[in-house]
Amino acid sequence: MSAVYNTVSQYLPFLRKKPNLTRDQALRARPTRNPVLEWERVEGGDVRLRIPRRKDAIARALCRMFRAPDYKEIVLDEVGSGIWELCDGGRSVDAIVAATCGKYKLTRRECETSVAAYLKMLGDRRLIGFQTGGRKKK
Amino acid sequence: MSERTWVGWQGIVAEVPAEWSLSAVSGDEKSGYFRVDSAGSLVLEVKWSGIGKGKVADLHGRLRAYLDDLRRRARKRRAAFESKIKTKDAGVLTFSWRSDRKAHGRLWLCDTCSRVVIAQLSGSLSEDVSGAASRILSTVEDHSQDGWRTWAVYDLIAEVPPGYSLEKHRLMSGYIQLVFRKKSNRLILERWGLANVALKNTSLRDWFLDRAAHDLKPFTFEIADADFDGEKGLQVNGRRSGPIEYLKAARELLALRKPAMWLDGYVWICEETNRVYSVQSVHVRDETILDETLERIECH
Repeated sequence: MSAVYNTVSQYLPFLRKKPNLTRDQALRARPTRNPVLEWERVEGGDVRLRIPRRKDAIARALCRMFRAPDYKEIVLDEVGSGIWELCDGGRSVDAIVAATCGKYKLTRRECETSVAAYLKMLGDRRLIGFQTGGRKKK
Repeated sequence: MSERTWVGWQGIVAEVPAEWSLSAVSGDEKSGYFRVDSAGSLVLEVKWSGIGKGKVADLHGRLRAYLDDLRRRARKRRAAFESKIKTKDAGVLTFSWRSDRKAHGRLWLCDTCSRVVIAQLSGSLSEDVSGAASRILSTVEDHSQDGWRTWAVYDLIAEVPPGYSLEKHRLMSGYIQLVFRKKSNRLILERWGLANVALKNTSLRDWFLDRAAHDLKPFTFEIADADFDGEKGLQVNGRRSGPIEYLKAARELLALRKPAMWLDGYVWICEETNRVYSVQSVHVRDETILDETLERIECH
């Protein structure tokens, strides 16, 4: 049943279940870059992401129909690029907020709000995932 | 002792640890509320409500009503609730309560600004609320000695001349704007974050003109380079011009108000805090508050 649900929710995002995290759990989560993506530093220091198109039958058919390229490119701005580089799976959201606060001399509240919104946006676009502590096995 | 900062809204200020930050504001000069959160569970809340000049406020009644409201809410959550009220000195009541959180607070009436203020510091049961409350609540002040009102939000600490009241505010991540009005005079305080990113490929003058193009449209203005204690900056001086602006001025005159025709302002980069600050005064001819306001702004 869950396999069916996962397949359906892949195409209907509003059906996806969102995990309920407390603020502390969210701050401890470790953002990790989607391994499918390719990324590089371009001139000026900004990060360019190359996002491959999905390879399933529907996506392939749509790509053929609209002659879409195999990759979609996104260039992140300076602040976004800095945050992207910190999303290495080892640093928590809290650590990324602290690093960004220090780098740009922002207040903690301002920085936390902006970084959280940015990471959420990256997460919603599946550019990053969030590793949480996981449950202890009984 | 850790670093401390000021939080101030509508003239009510409190000194809190530097890592605490304003998380909610509401209301106006007569009645309102602000809340400051720590990184942990400690929360400072201040609420005020005005009373008419010369009227007597029933402080005990107000405090009992507040605690009864908390008791009702605790009952709904099926949590126990205990509270104590003490009279500290004339006109100041101190209280404490304990439920699924605990708090210490004070309530007082200020005769000068005719407001009843209730300030409370709450936290989880494991926190040292009493110690933090004694340090922080004693710093809460509801008015200044000289009538200037302190506004302190996210490291923008400024004092505003008497008579100016908040017309609108924008508290965004990376941008803060406070607009005050006194009759037809307006005082606009702005603060942008990430100055090094915003000014990476542009000059302060071009960046400011781009940002403020809409607000400066009614004015014929001049911009000159200026220096503020070693900080790079700009001085803006202008005057309303154009038929529409003169019609607006005529309308003000018909309402027996002097029209605010002049614009003076300063914009500067604070390298130490990586921020850009702007203070602008749109004023009638004889209103000269800008320089003193500028002196009372702390950028770092």
